[in-house]
Amino acid sequence: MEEISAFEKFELQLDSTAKDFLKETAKWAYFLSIIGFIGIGFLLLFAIFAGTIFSTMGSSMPGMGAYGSSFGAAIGAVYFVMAALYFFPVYYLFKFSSNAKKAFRDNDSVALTESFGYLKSHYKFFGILMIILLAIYALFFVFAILGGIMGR
Amino acid sequence: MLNKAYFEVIKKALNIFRAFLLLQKIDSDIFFVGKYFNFIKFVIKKIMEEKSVFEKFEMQFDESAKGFLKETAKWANVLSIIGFVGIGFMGLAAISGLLSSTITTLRIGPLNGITGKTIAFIYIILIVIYFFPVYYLNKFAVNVKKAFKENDSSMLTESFNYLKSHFKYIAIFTISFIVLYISIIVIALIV
Repeated sequence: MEEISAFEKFELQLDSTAKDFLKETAKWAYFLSIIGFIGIGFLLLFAIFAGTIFSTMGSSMPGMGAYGSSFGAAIGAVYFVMAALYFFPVYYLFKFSSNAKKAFRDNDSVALTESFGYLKSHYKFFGILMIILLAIYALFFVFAILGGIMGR
Repeated sequence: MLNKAYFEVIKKALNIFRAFLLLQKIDSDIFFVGKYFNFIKFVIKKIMEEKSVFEKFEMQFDESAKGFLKETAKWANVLSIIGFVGIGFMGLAAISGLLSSTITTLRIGPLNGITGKTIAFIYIILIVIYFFPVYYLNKFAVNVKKAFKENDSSMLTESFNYLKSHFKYIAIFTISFIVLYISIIVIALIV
């Protein structure tokens, strides 16, 4: 049956080489997602302690007076938002790789489909995030130009 | 075991019976060779689908998985194009750094003494680093698109090769950066 499908090519097949590649992809993606989770952990740690760090810096270091605890709270909020933003792609990557691993281990087609679903979500998230960031940059440009014209 | 063998026989018989029924339904131009082969293909496909869904003797790459993969390719393509544009901008920055090397030297605090050439050099390194993952991602997306357009399994295999390269590159890069950070911390503690 494999020969028939390879010969007539009436549908796309995942051959054994492709499976090997996918397995290795899952391995690296798993590693990256773990590193990602650790990174998010650090971001959250910093977000929680930013207030304390900056208030002690403000009171103990000369010239840092401007960066008091309120500044620390703002930085903490920024890091918290960053952690929340990073969580989703990392989570999707983790789900992709763990599902792909499961699919190969248990010969599970459903898990394979699931894993492609999560891979799609991962790239979709990054794509939309990029488009939003580019739109914000474009807005900056527009406002900078407008400001330049009006400021004359 | 015996049960399974029986089951096999019954299923085969059923399949043949079904094929026969289908054959009856198809109109008189069944005897045209092309149609006949299409029919055979169709029957084989039906049998294969049923068998593999039921027995799961190998992983299937089903329709929804294909849909997901197509959408993945679409977004990966968008990302890789944005990446190429970004690399283009870095190239512009490098060129302007090279051109301005004779005129400007930054005099801002810690950046004191950095010339346009140094900045251009840093940008060229960044371009080389960023080029490969973006290139692999683009190749992945392009190959998946081609695989679906031409129904070509070897293209699909190629595309997974590139996806693997993409993740491997980023992972190895991440590892080397972590090692770099740790060694900086260790050196800072020792010195």
